[in-house]
Amino acid sequence: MRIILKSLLFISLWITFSSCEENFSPVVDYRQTYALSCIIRGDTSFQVATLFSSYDLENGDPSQNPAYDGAEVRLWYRDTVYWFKDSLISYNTYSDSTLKFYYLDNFRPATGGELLEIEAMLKNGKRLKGSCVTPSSLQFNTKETSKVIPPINSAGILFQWMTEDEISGFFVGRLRIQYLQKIDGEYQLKYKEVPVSYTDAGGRSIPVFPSPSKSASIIYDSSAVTKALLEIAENDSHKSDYRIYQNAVFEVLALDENASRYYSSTLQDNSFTVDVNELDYTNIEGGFGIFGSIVSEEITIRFVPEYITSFGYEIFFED
Amino acid sequence: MRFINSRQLIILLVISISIFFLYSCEKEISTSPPEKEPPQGFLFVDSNPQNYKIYLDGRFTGRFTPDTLPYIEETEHLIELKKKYWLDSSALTFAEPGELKSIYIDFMQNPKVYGQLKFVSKPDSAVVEINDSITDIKTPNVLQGILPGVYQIEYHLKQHRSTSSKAIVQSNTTTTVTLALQDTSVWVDYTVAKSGLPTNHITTLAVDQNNRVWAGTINNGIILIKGNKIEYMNSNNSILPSDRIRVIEVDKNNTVWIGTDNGLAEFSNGSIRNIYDGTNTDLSNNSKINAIGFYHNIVFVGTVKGILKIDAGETKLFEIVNDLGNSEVTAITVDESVDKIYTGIRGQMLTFQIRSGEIVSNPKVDDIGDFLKELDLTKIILRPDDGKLWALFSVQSGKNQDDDLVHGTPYLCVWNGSKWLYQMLESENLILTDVTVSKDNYVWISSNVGLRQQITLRDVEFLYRTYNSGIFSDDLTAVEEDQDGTIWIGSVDGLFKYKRQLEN
Repeated sequence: MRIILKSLLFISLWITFSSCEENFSPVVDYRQTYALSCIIRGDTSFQVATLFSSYDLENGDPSQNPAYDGAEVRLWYRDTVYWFKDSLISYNTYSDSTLKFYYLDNFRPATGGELLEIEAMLKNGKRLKGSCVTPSSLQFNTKETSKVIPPINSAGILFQWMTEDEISGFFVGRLRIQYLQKIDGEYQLKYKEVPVSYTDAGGRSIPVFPSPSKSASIIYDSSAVTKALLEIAENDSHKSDYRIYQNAVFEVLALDENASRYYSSTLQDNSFTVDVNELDYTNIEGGFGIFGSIVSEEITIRFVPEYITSFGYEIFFED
Repeated sequence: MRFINSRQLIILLVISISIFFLYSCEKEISTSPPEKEPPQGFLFVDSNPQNYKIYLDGRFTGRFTPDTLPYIEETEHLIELKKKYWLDSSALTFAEPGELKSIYIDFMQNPKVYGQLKFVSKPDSAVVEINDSITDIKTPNVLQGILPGVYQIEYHLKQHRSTSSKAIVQSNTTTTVTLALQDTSVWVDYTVAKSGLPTNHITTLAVDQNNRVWAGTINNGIILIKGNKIEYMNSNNSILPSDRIRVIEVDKNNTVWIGTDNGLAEFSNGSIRNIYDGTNTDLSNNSKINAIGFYHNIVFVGTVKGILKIDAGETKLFEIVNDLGNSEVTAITVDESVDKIYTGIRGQMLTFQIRSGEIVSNPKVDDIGDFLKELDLTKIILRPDDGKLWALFSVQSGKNQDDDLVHGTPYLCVWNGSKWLYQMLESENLILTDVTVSKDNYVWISSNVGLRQQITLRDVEFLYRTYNSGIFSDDLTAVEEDQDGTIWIGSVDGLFKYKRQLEN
């Protein structure tokens, strides 16, 4: 009897240790996923959509990728359907690399609540769909908007705008300083984006850039503009090699909710925005990606020449 | 207490091991739901006629017949076909997996697809032209069995201006095309809208010996009309020195002389043969041509610097300065019978004697009256039948105390062979623009208040206005008679033709 019991115990222990054994692999079964990205702009009739796909490294041939070629991309607007055409971009740096993109060269939507729907049908029948609503068009409130930098009797530079109708989305502003830098005897055009402010984080000065909001105005700290100007030639003692355009350009984008998320996810150099993978925000049914709509408007603001020359820079007057 | 025996112990152990075996490998594994495979339904949709919009379940697909709807759900679908102006149609169908199903709709078999065109005109009996094809249909009439679409309909009726319109024919409906035809038996108008002229603003008129009408325009060259044919000459299709035409005259050799803002063009045998401007004459930098007169084969041209003589291609400028210090010649006419050239120079009329083709340098200042000294001689013409000169004078434009532009009182003057007779015309802002003599010796004077027809200085036979004639503009700029006796009238609003010989 004891022999039988011992045998059973041994068998049970053997089963315990061997029955759950399996060949574990960290690589899961490959499953192809697709993404569609398209932001419709209200300030141009050229619109671009791109298709991406996950890629099986083992069996892959990029040219056979359903997202790469042969997709039908259509846009529904009012009672018309627009078919995207396709084109290839070759990268100079990687001569064998190309990107297929789909484009429309005859479509410019009206602003203010127009429904846009997109559908990309890949050649394997997979459909990616999305919809969005165009944001309202913009107009600057020139009465309230600051005229010069540095502002007169104010610590901030104000930009204010209005939408033409009640349908308002999200707005994001961008103030850019245009300048020419002398490199090897020739001037090159460059831009410096100005943050709304700088904040101190553990002794480090971190720029804070505008993020999408519902507010129809934005105030830049005068000190932020000063610091941004200083940064242009921070490590260069030849300040006179820099010519700052007398007019800086402020651009405001009106974004629908989808584009707003997309914009936030792609903001750079801003530690106060969570830098997420854009695929984390998707409004594409049947896959991933973003379909959104934006309109933009811009206004120039003039630098006081003495302010620019106080940094050692030259001022560049446009015709 | 009862002890477990060995047999029971073995059974208990086997059950425990089995339970352990069954549950020991259970793991918590997170898995995504399986990706749904694309639907495999395919539907081929075709129609007669083709190019219908294909709607799938109420939504336009962006496709037109014939086309395939790929990868659609394997279920029942509503297919609708729509085409502008055409009858719609719909069908329910099942898409089967992996099977290409077809739908074909032949609209042409349905009588309701066709529409009707009803032709109505005023007056009746107009011939109907459809899409540039003359038919044997006369108004009023109805044409059935028309395919939906847009048609260009034109009505033609003798002695009436053809008129056209677009007609939209829709399935199962009657479209009525009602057009009124303008009676052109006596009066005809030519405009940008009706005749496709490049401009409505006519500046001068002439008729050549081929009975072709030359209409100079303010900025678009020349309009040439012969019968129903209209042609254009401008600086783009010819060497015309300017598109601003000031005067056109035809000489005895049927050479057409075209005075422009930038020189004189000589047109003969179908093309411009010579240009006279500042580059080949003494006109230097100002080649504006105001007037042209003919003395046998010599051409006298009124310019800003005096009279330019052209004789067999040779040019000579007679610079003239009148008593008032002016030199711009605004009007010229030549009386070959007395070898005289009559000229209007700002503020005066000067008469020159011609000897051996040359202008005698001392001109005679015609004693019309001191009151005419401030007037511009706009036009002067010789009535061949009685040798009388008719001259149109207008006060130079100026501004009154209220800063309004005024033209002053114009005068109409006639030289009766021994003295000048004159008549002050009634309206202060009247401008006399052109004068011609018809074969029946009537003098026709265009003005900014209509067309005067008179035989004597004092009596106006008829004043043609918008309300009593076929002209629809009172702002007339030129008048000329063609070889058929038709009076052509230029205006700032178009060109008019008055077939007075056909009027009862």
